[in-house]
Amino acid sequence: MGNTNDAVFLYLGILDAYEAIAEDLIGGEVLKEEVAPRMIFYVRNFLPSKIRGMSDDAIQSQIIDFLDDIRNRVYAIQESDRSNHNISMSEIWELRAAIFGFENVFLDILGEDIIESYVYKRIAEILAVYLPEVFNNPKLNLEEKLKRYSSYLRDNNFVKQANFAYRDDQIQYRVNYCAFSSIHNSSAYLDGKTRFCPWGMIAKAIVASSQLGNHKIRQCKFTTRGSITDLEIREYDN
Amino acid sequence: MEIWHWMFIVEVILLLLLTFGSYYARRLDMDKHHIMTYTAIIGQVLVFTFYMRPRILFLISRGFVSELLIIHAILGLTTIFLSLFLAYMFLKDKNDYDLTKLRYTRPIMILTYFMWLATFTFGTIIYFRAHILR
Repeated sequence: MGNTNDAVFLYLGILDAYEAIAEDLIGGEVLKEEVAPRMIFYVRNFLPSKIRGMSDDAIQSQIIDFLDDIRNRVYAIQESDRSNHNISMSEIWELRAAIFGFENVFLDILGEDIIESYVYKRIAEILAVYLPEVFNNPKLNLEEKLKRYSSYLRDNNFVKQANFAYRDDQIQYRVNYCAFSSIHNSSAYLDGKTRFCPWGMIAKAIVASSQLGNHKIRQCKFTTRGSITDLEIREYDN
Repeated sequence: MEIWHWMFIVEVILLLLLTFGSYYARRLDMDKHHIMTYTAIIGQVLVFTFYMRPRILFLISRGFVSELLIIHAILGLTTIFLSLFLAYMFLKDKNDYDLTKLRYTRPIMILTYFMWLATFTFGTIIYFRAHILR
């Protein structure tokens, strides 16, 4: 696989965006009080062997330590020699567990309407800051940006297939044969509790950076090795 | 042109449709995947009902049954049943997306495609022997 660290940096962008919004809307202790307990479900699903025999409290404190540690390491990697600091696959799963923990908090506490009308939009805006400059170039139109993003995913071997369909106010972003897709076998995906693909979320950030209007993820379907994310762009209504 | 030449052309078109359908499945362009595979299945059911079934019954009645024809018929019938089963599985609740269903049906889809390809290969050999190389 290509440079995993770049993917992790983007995942961390999603996490940072969630955390910023959660602290803003729910409160400063949201990670400890709300997110970490919900992350346990995902960690148990994604990394059963790693946490076998551990109590919920132990997992929760391990999660909080992990998030501090991974943040420091990923930012250090971004500023230094990348080749000596590889992030392992189990750490990527744990990062995903954190992202999905936040999503569950938003669903449970804020509800679907606020997520659609505010949270996803704000996440995309924050995440746009983390995107490589080429996806944010204001001289490029949206289609060109999404083409470059798809090439970026393929060239780094994150996925074998990445493409999109852009028709009127609908964008369908598709990735297949994802390097991280073995996680789709976990019950968190099979029972439909996981609601979005990080690659689709980043595509949404690219749409947000193009400032075409309001935008929302209409739905995200997971396949055995990929995902299909349907985005909708609407005229500004707020 | 004789009907079997037309049927061979139709079968080539149906196989191409199925192959492009598989290609679009790899790209996760599901609209095109469904249009192409469902069209191929409907086409195959029509060809089977109105040409192959009466043709095989005719050949049996005349005693023209070869091993190749039996293999082609068994493979073809199984492939049609599997195709109809898959189409039913995805059409019966197409608004209710289910990753578990996809996990279990994906190997059947791959098997069905290769069985279709094998049936086509046997059919092509029969066609060439009976109508081109005779």
